[in-house]
Amino acid sequence: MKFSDETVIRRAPTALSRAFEHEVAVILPTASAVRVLNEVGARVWTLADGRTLSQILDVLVNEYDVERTQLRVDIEAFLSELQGRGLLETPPVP
Amino acid sequence: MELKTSEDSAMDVLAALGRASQNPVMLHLLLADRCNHACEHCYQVQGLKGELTREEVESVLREFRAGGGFVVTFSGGEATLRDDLVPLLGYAHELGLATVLYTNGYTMTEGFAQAIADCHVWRVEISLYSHRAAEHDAVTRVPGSWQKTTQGVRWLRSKSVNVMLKFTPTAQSVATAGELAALAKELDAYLFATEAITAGEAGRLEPTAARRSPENALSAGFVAQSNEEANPLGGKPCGAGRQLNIRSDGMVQPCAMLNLPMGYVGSTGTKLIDVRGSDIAGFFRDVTWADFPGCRVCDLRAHCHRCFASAAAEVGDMLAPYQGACELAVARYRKASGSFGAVTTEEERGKMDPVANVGPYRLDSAGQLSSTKVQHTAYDRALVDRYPWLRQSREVLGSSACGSSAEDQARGLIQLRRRKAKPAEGSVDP
Repeated sequence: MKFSDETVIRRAPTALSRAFEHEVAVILPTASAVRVLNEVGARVWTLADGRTLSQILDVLVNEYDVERTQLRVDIEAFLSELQGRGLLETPPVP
Repeated sequence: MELKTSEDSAMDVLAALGRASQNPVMLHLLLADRCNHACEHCYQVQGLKGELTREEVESVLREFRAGGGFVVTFSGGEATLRDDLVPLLGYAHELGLATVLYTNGYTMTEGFAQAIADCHVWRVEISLYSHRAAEHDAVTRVPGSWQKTTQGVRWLRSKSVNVMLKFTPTAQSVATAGELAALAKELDAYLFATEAITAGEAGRLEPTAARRSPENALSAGFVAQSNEEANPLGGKPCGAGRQLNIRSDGMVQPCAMLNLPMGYVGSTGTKLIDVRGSDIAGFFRDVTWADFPGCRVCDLRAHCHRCFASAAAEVGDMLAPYQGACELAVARYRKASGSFGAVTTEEERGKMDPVANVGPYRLDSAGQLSSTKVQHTAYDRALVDRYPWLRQSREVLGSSACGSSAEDQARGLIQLRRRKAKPAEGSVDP
């Protein structure tokens, strides 16, 4: 799945979640399971409030000791996973 | 940068998160004190407790959400018999709570299924007792119930609602795990099969008469594989206390089957947050396998799934070994070890205890089992002194399924009898 810098990332309104210390538990609406996001995943989840991918990367690159290129690869893979689980609002625009 | 996630059994994950949290994250709300089925193995006594009003339930949901609550399960009795179920499901979703509905599916229609889908219910769990209509109807004692229930599942799945079929193996159904799995696949639903039938609330032993023998459950594929590392002494014996349970009349309990009042919500106004400080809550927060005088020395503890309520009903002591759990522990041990050797008694070995179907058990180097006597210590006696409800009399247990008012308590002297009915001649197998 392709993401551009301007792709808007937003949590699906039906994706209920709850923060527990540094983790976030997310109800998978299409399955009988809960996904627990670790600290970094939880941060991405929090930032997925309608910001663009570029804006999310801007925040994370300042918070974590990581190269932007590698960060983008990781984040895109993570967002694709969330997308596949129906946890993001709209299909990203290539 | 690691973005690792985990996806496990939802309730286990939530229970673990709840333990780490200061507030409960799961709430089991028994909405209805009535049912349209009459299953022999049902643990409940209905019609003696009363029900919270819609406004009281909404107040509980708001308080639960404000305290960090995440998942609420609506059950009964039969929750769909309440006219305000759909508004309550919708209200819970508006508050940001994930909702689970327990039902027998008997009242499900296409319109009802659509309403449930519109409320974004996370999962509907439906009791189903066989892949054969006649067997299911014999368990529910409602002719035609299998047809309505399975059609209900189809309606829900047609609206993309997650459905989990919950199967309890009873003596009236000869269904095997494989046959149930095939039906679940056909209905496009998840399947969860429990192993044990617990004793009833109020100390009723009638439900246990519906149990399959451990040998039958084993051969039918319903005995789960044990983990030899399971149930360490510092671990929890069951899920009691891991979520909030609220009875239909507002009594807050450690478990739906344990009528131990930790407080009352509704008109009396107990706050959920205050429940955590109750003596009963403290016991269930702290209790471990080490507190069970027999189980802590039992060599089959890793294979045991015990229940406080069943122990209270079967032997009058919530911490004592009892037949329902011990027999299944032996069956699991046999499955895990591949050993089907007979359980000998200590009487046969020239010792004292003639009872082989109740532990604790000793396992010798040849893999032979024998039962031994429970040894109580001063610590055990002190525990019972501090929590005397661990050993309730049958009279106290018998009145515990009633509402809290004096009038309700008096009505508890009435022994509820379930209607006997045969499946209709029109019941057909698929």
